Amino acid sequence: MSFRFRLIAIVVVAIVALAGLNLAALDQVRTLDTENFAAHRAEARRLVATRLSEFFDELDSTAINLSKPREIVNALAAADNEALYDWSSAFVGNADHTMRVTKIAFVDNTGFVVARAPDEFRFGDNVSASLLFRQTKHDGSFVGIAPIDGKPHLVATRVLRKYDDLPVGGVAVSTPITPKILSILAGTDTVVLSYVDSDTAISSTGTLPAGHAISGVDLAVPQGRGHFRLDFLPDARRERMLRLQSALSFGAIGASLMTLGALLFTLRRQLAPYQTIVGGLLEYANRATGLSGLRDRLARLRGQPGEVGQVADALSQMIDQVDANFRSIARYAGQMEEMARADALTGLANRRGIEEALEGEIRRMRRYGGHFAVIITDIDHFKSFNDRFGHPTGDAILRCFAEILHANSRTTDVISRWGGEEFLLLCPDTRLDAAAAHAEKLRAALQGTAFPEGARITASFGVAECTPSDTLATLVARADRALYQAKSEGRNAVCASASLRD
Amino acid sequence: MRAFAALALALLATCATARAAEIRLGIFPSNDPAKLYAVMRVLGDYLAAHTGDTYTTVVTRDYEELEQRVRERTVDIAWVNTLNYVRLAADVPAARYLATYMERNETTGRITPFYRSYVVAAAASGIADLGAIRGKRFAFTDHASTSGYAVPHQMLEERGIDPGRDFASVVFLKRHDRVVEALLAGSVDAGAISDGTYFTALRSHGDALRILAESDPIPLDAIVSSGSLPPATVRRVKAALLAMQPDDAFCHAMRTTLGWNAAGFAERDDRFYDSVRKLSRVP
Repeated sequence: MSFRFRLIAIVVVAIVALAGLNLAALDQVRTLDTENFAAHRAEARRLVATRLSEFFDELDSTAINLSKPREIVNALAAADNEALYDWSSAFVGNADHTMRVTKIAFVDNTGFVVARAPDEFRFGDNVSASLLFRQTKHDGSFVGIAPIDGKPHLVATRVLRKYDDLPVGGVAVSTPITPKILSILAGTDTVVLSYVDSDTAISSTGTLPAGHAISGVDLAVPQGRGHFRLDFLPDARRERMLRLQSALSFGAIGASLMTLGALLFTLRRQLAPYQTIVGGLLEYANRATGLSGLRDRLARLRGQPGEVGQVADALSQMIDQVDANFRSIARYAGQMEEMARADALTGLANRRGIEEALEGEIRRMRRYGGHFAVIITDIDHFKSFNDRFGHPTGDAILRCFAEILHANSRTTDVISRWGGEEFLLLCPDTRLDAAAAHAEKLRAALQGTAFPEGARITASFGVAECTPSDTLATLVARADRALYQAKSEGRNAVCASASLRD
Repeated sequence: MRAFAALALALLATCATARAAEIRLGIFPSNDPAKLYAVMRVLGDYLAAHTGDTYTTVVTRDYEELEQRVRERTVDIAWVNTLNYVRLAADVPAARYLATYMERNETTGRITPFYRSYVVAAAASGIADLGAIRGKRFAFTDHASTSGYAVPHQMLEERGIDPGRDFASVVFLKRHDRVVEALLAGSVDAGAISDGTYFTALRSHGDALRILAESDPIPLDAIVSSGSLPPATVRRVKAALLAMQPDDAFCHAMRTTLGWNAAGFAERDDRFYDSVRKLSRVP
């Protein structure tokens, strides 16, 4: 699993977990709200039932208060409309202004309405046929719902008794069931209180809630017909809250996805250069590319803003440094190699160097054909010079000798110090005659040169051409024998091996 | 004669300034109390101007309360109805008759100390005569009312109608104007009112009421003193009342506010009310 994948996985897991927690919290709020709503319904039902009960209590207590005073009883007994009206008008009010008693009527034993409030001059009608009148007369009182003037009313009645004994009539205290009254009883506009009986349906909102109510409960009526019904409407505030919750849920998911996308995009952007760096390093490690290839890759990142640019710069600089180090090491190694093949005193190839060159040339000739020759030369009577002038002058003579060989040879010729005062020249593409001529040229040059301390120096030369059957040893031995020949012939001479018979 | 009366009044007023009294003027609730207070203030102003005393008005809850307050002397001067006067004269020795209220007759234009009681029906009820009144709903004003109860009760009895039995229901509406309102509203079919009330209704509602029966002339209300004031003060008040002209501001106020054709006051003797005394036996 790559680092990148792991990083992305960590981000995804974190965001999914956060979104999950968010949704769980929202769900909990929703659950709480559902519970609250159930509690709210129970409370609303209790409140409405209480208000209704208080309403009936108030009607009943007014009926009792109007049935007790002797003056009222006597007024009813004497059909004193004015006194009864005076009493009742003091108790009625407008239901729209929270007064609950809106109608009072005094009725005598025959059902004749003696007085009525607030309609001062509407009396004299007979209600003896009404169920309310008969029930009151029979039971002494009534608390509940009954039709008055053809419409359902909340009513309380009491019988009035002279001497607290003989019935003289009754008082009816009432208020009509109107949308306004029902709305006061309902208390809030999210609750619809309705009165329903076989003929009538009245609701606090004017119309009965049909399909749009969430739930409903029925409330009983103390006496009389019909019943109350309580319906719960969707609460606009709650609806808004639920909508908000949904929006928040979607918002949480959306925000999580967007964050995730943005993070991945950013990561990808931020990681890409690193990936280039790491990829390049891995390729380098796997020998798929060299330092220059790695540097080319990094060059693309150079100058990028921020950390990546700095890292790429640093790496490039390191690579440059390493590359430079490698180059100097290589150079140094070359020099070491050269030094191993060169003679310290004369700067010419040493014995090891010329042997390698000779073997290489032998291999080349065997493979490709062609010719080459070798010349061995030895300074005549060098020991006596050493003895006479000392070693430092001997060394100077050797250096001078080497310079003369070098100066008078072709650039392709390899000149070496074979050992002591003995030198060997490898002459590529050279036949025996040409090599002998070259040796003669060298001998002549030596003869005409002034050496240090005024020494007169001569040298003897042995020349041999390589044959296909030669090895290093046989070639050099033949040249050596030629040299010996030259020495024996009196020195300061050139002798070619062809002239010798092995 | 008028000049002499004015002079005497001026003299009395001069004497009175020395001992100005605060006099409580009581009246029974024949009409809307607010209207009664308004007109009695005008009467108080008149009397104050002519006697130098100060007057406050008391409108009682009902006829009986006024009678009671005269008895208790918690009013000084009382405007009582005929029936009350007869009872007071019999039961309260301290009560003194001062004058009788006068009205200008609506039809003849003459100023008299009499009025009448009418039994009326709402025109809309379809009742044409007393014969059709049985089994209907009937309204009286008050048991203590002369023209609203005692006189019409007797009239009905004389015509063979027993109010206690022959009506579907009987209701007491206390004030004459309330009887008119109840008739117009159709809450009762017939009722008893004073002629003054009838003419007021005629002016404001047109021909909405039908007169079924008309009583003999009934002596008008009396002004009495309760016995609480010194005789000199009572004399001042009496003189001022008798000196009132039919075109006085008070009479004008009575007409415009209550619809009564007030025309001042006259002095009669106690026998003037004898015709009513036999009515006081009415249940």
